[in-house]
Amino acid sequence: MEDKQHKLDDFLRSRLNNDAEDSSWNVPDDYIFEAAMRTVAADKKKKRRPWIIIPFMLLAGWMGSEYMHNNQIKTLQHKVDVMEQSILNPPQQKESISSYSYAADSQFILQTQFSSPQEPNIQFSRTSKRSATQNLSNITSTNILLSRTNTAFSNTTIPAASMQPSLADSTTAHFSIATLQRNKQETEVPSHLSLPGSLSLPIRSLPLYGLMILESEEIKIDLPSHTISVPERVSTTLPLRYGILLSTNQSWYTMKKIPFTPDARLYAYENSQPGVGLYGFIRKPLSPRLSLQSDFGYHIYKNKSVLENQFLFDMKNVVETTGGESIYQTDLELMNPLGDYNAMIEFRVNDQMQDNDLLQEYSKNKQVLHTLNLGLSLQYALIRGKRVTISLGTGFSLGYCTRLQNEFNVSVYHNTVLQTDYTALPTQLNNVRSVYAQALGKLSFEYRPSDRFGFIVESQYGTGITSLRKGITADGPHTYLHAVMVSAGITHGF
Amino acid sequence: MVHGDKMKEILSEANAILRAKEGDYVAQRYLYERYRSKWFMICLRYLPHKSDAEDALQNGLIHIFSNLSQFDPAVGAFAGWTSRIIANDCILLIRKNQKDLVVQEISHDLQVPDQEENAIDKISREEIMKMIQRLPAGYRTVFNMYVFEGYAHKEIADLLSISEGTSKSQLFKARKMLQDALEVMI
Repeated sequence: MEDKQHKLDDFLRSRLNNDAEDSSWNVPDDYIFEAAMRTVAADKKKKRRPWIIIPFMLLAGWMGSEYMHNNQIKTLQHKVDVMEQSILNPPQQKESISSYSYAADSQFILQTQFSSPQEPNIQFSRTSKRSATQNLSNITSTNILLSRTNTAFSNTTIPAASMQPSLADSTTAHFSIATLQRNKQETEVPSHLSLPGSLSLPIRSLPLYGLMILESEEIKIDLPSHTISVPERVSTTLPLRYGILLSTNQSWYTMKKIPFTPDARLYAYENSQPGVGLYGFIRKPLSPRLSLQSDFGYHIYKNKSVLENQFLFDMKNVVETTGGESIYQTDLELMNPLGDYNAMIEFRVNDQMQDNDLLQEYSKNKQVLHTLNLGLSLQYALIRGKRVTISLGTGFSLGYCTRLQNEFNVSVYHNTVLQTDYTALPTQLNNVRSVYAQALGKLSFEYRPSDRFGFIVESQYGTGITSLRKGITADGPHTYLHAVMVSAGITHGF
Repeated sequence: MVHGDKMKEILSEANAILRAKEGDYVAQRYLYERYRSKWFMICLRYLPHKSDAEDALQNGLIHIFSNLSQFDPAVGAFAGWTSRIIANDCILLIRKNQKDLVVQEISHDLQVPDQEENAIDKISREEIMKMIQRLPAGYRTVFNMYVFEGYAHKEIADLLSISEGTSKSQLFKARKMLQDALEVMI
């Protein structure tokens, strides 16, 4: 028998393997070669493209670093300039003024000058409360002039009502800025008083702009020192950030083969419609680049797949109906993250079918899946600028299936012939588990035109790991749900 | 030793391969015209429909000429290397379209010759090809892979995602069908 088979093999090989003369039946059309060569040429061009991009990327990277470097130099230079100014134009020591006075209209004026970029905190104190009470009880308003070195006077007025507390009631008062009303009678700019550090300065009357001034007791004025203090860098990211996004997704199933069904395979068919979703997130920065994000959303996944399997015809599965027909019945089991699927395959037996004949079965599954998802992920900012952040994230989410729509359609073939005369029973979905865990990977791009508002585009890949309910009963293949999602939305900082 | 025309042939093929690796269109065309019948017959063995066979051949040509730089004459012959590529592309196409191919009707232009007229030696290549094409898709694929490409049953099982037992069973049935057809023709 084996000898005969080998002879057959050798005969066929000898006839078909040798070089053949061109005949009408074994010569392909010329367009095939031309089409193939065009594809080869196009592929070669595509392979070259990534290499071309590299020098541009290097150039862009160099230009970016140059810009940031120059920006930093400008900032530092400005600080140095200010410091130099303060060194070159040190605050002048002025004669002290021994006292101040006030007129019946209860106004006093203190004019001073400071060189700090920050507004000073002026503290008035009275050495003698009694005299203050005596002298200041009628004060209804106070004008304090503050000016920076070599710049114009400020023009902010603090009305009496906004001054807290009033001089009459307390020993101290704090003002940030004030203005001086010009009186056209005054033509001379009063001498300015530079106060390095803290200085006790009794003030006499100063003929300033025709206004009466108060001759005071000692007034302590604490002004910022002349040292330039650089304000702390204001972070452009606020403590918490939240966002809301609309998404579109494409999902599909893959299958892990298990020993029980070694012939099975799963693949997508036709074009699945994309699913949609809506979700929001809250993001808490843990460090300048690392943040923790929690999101919650509703997603709809749509996919179509075919499970292909082979099995041997087994006479034990044939049942006789009351009508005298022979019906073959067998179960199809399938486990996926959502639950066990049990389908009944049933068809009428014909005379050609024999025991151990090979049968092929194709189970088409069209699915629409609605889920609520709660996710937690860690985000790492690959690029973190004032306006733009690009980050990479990874995490997990829990999915709760709120609705599952399934269409199962099973076809059976015997000797490559479709068995059309079978009755398809409705597919039963047993032990549908609602809750499953999903692993996530994401890449997001956020642009913030202001500190509070921003726009975000995010792409995400998720794969269903496992169901969270125990008691997996299906012996059939295990399938896994995958989804790729692209989302866009807005963000807001607290 | 190899003499005369055969040597010239080998040398010109080796030269053509070198030039084809550099993208010489004329050299590529030379190789195509030299082996196109052989390659197309491989495709027809796996895929009875001409359009499917042409698809597989086109895919195979793309793979051959895209990866020509990987061919090393010291390792094997060009004919064998390319035949394996073409066969693999046929198998890939079969796997991809298996559902459709399974229900395809056997081409009506394939006719079994009258049994009184042909003895086995007179059976033409075309007739033998048609006999193989008449096999059911699964039998034909396994048969081609085992007999012509030299795959072992384990390799066939892995490539086609079937069991070894199924592979053996289908090969057995294919041989039986071919033997029956040959006996009818003889």
